[in-house]
Amino acid sequence: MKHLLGIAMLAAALGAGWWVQQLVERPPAAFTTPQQGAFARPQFTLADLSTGRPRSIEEWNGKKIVLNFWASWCAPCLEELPLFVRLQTRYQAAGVQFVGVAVDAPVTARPLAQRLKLNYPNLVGELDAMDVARQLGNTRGVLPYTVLIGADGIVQAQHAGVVNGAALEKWLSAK
Amino acid sequence: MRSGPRLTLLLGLLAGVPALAGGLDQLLGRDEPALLPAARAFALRVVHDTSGAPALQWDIAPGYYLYRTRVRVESETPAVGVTAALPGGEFTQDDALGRVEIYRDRVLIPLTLTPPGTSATLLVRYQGCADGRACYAPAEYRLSTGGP
Repeated sequence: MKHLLGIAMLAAALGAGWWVQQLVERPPAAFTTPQQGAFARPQFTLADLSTGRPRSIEEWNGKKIVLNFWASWCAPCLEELPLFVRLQTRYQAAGVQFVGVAVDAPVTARPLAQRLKLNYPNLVGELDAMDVARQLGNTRGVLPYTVLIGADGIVQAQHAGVVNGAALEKWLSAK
Repeated sequence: MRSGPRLTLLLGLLAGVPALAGGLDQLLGRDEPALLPAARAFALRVVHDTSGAPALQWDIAPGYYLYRTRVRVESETPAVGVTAALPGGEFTQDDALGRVEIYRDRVLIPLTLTPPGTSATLLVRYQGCADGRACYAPAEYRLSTGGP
């Protein structure tokens, strides 16, 4: 009986290992699974867009985070920001926190954030912000870039380009 | 690699991803090709006309475009200047940015080096996007015009 249990556990482990490998080796596409084992989100601090004071990503530990990198020179970024405003309102009570990162000079990004009525925290940076995006798998330097981070701090998905709103909402509403 | 992150990864995937897989598959299922690396989306090289005059030639992949106003060409060679004659582009109305001038397909930018007949290392800055999908961060190329 012990042998049978051992064999069953080994088979389950091998199956899980194969499945994990399939996920990890999936070629980059719209939303990708994380690369090279970088599943725990990196620690980083950037300036707050409104106040200029440093803010750490750790401030939102325990929340489901949608981390979105955007810029004033990126038309697709600006087009999807109103979606994030709506979703932040809708899922605030469910422990969802959108966090924007403007890859820009503060003087350029701040008026845009005001005009678009961004209702969630925004950080700002230039090379340092792109460096954070790179650490999160954005090897092509593309914006918008959106990272879904679970409440446990594990990076669950990364997306280069405009998100599929319905699919994002499905992730937000999942327990 | 340390075992901690691997274990976390495995446990995280085993615990959380099956429930998410449907959603992620939908995200993956936008039926869009992967975005090209910038160097392939905006392939740049120096060409010479029959008189030997240099020009920059950009071959832009279908579905991608460059902002004309974001193209900058500088010489990094001391005592050699460069002037780039940027051709007119295509005007398009962007919902977010207003009226913008862009390049598609192939762009040829004649260069004038001063003094004439010299060569230079050029620093070329540019920025472009994939239609309706994403934009690339401002990037730069260094390339030589080749000797006279």
